[in-house]
Amino acid sequence: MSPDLRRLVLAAAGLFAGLTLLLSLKSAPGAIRAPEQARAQPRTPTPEKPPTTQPPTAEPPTAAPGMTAAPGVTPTPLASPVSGFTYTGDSAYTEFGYVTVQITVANGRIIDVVAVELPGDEARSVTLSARVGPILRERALAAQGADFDTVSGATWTSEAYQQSLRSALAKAGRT
Amino acid sequence: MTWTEQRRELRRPPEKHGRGGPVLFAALGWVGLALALLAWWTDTPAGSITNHGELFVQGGRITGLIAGYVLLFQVLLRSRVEFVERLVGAERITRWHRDLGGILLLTVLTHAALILVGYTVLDRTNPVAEVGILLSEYEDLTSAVVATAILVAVGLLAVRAVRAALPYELWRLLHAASYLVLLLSYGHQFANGQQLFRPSFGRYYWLLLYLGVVGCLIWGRVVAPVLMNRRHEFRVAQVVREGPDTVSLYLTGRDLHGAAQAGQFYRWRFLAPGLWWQSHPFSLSAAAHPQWLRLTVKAVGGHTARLRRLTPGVRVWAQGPMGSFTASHRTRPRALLVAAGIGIAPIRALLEELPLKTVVIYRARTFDDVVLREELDRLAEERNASIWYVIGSRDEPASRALLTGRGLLQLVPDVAQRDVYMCGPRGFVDALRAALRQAGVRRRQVHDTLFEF
Amino acid sequence: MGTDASVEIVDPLPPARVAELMDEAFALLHAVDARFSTYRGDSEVSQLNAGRQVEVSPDMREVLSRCAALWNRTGGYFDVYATGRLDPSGFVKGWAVQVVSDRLLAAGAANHCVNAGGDVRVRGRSGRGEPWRVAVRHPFEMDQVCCVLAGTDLAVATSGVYERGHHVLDPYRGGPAVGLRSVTVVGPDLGEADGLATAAVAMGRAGLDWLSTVEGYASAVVTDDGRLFCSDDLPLVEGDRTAGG
Repeated sequence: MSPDLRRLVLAAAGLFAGLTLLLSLKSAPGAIRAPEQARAQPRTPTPEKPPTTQPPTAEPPTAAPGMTAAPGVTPTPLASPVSGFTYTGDSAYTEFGYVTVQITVANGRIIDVVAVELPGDEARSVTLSARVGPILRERALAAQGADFDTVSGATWTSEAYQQSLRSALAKAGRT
Repeated sequence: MTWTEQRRELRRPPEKHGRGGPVLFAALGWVGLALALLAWWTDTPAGSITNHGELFVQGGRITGLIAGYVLLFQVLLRSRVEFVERLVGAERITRWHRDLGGILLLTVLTHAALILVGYTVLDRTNPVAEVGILLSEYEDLTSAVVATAILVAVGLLAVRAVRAALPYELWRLLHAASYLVLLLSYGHQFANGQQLFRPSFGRYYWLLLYLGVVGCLIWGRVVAPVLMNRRHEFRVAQVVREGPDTVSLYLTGRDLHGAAQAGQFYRWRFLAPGLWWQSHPFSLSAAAHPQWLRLTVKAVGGHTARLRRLTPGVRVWAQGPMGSFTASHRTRPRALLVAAGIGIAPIRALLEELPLKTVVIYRARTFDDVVLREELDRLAEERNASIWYVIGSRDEPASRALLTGRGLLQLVPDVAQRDVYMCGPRGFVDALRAALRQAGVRRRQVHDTLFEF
Repeated sequence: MGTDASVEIVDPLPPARVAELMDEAFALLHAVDARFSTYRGDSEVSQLNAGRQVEVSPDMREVLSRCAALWNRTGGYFDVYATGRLDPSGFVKGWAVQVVSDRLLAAGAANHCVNAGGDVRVRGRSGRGEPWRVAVRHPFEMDQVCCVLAGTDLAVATSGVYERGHHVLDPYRGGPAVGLRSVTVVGPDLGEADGLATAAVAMGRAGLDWLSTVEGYASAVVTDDGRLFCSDDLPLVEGDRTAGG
């Protein structure tokens, strides 16, 4: 091998070693998961959380996946794809912390939420003007009592939904 | 009008140059790189890499920072700014520039690959679709892709075989496309660089680097040469035939005293029709004289052939002096000078400034190829030096013996205690270097100057 | 648009008049559908997309001009050409309901509730004499609602990605937007609210932050991970009440 090539190979080896070192130092403890899979212990689903009136802190959680306000911390195996699906949120600039979340939904209920930490301020996310308004405050996401006149929701194409809507309206005394 | 060599006092060897320059410069380079990576380090929270996609993207960011930094370092190396030339020396600059070029290309391609793979995994699509997504999402990525393509082309051109196949001037012109790489990647780095796109240590540091490097570039390539040429105003004074295809060019100018050291070279641009659009490096073939500088040039191509017909009074634009092939870089009390062919030019100059009892080996194919003979002999007498003329084709025993450790030791028994300055065609220099190593000469005692600037 | 629409008029007007107003309201909604539905080959929108020479109607001009303003306001995230073909339905649904409501008001029916495709415009008070209550569908529990808003002059538009097969495209990435499950925008103009809600969903999580900068409109957002965020000025009805009969 010519000396030029040998030096290049050495440099490549050094680059690879350096990369591995730096990346491993910033990796989460435990094996790196592919974004879809998760290993875990099963846990009971509770979509409700105590209502918070303060905005969540902006400090990034430093431990491995975990989010103080999230309902779930450990992952569960994927529910069957027919009735459930897994969303992995796009990472984006938020002031709520460095979070992208992976949730598993089955039968309309969140059965698992896993926070996957990512550095904040992704250069990919839309560059928006500085926030001038008040922030949106977090509230409990809970089913409300059905005392209302009409419902606003995104597309109502499914038959199942329309039926359930009619029943909800009937329950509310509006037919 | 003929210029005659005047007898003058024996020149004293110049002060020795400190040897720490390259080490210091390299250390600064590493510190700068560490700072660049620090920007990544502080921007990336501990434990934040939790999946493969993120791993690759972060790897891409690190390599992006390294690539951007190396690019800037390359430009700084080639900016011709004086402190770099003085600390590192033209010959070493060329070597580093070559090596870093390969590393730059490697790092850029690795960066692109890691980013593509990482986002492909995160977006859960396939690489081809991801390319489309990335290109449509960022304006500056298209220019980054173009910059990478240019870099690859420049890299391919730099392969020795390709370079040798192209005319020198054309090659240099194509290589200048590297500036486009700097320009095109600027937008990409500051718009897409995770550590650069918003106000932060990384951004300010990078801006500082860019400012510094571009400033050095403008100074070294534009301002300093303008000042230098206005100071000296070089003109061709006389063209003297030294041999069948070799001429010496005597150049006059102002303020020439101490303008350059023996062994150094300038890049010369002769402002005459047919010559003005090229600049070539030629070493001084005599130590700087208060009234003239001299170059000795062999006609090997169209440009050098035309030099023979220069008329006196032609203005010359120069860049330099450059090179660390000087007596001030010596490490020992005595020296061995080895010249092959027209390599005798800087060797002849060096003979004036090196300590006494220098040994010179001058290798030439035929007697006609030996130039400056009378001067060499006279200098040898004045300075108690010895000259070995090794005449003959490459295959003759004397020529061959020269390139072996044993042969060298026969000619110069104390070669291991001397600085060795060598100048000649590449093949000769490489072979001689190996022979010197065989003869026990250490690497730091060996100096060479290439004609490949 | 293929969705249910409902109009409720509470004013004590003569039944014939109420019937007349209802007919006009539905006629207008049908006319809007005929002009703007991308599912109908003979609609003006489809003809424009097919490149056939067509006289651009004043309504189309107004809609396109409003959509252009929305494009500006949302930094390009409300983009009627995001799918490659003109599709203003993210604005038109709300706009149509707003026009119906404005006409009803002008005709003397100041207490009404118009709901088409989940975009709601209420004015005045409901049959119970109280401000209208508009609930927001729960994005995860299909037969529940997750918050109730009350008002006498409200436009409520909700955009979301919880219906299977329904996507909001991120016009920059060209793929489905992820991050926000449901965005409800409340304010004076329903067309505008509709466009803003759609754009916020397209932005993903960044939309959450962006919404707080939008002037004149309040919002309620449910993220993919099941968290609900509401602006301070959202006219929420607090507290549970057990479902009636």
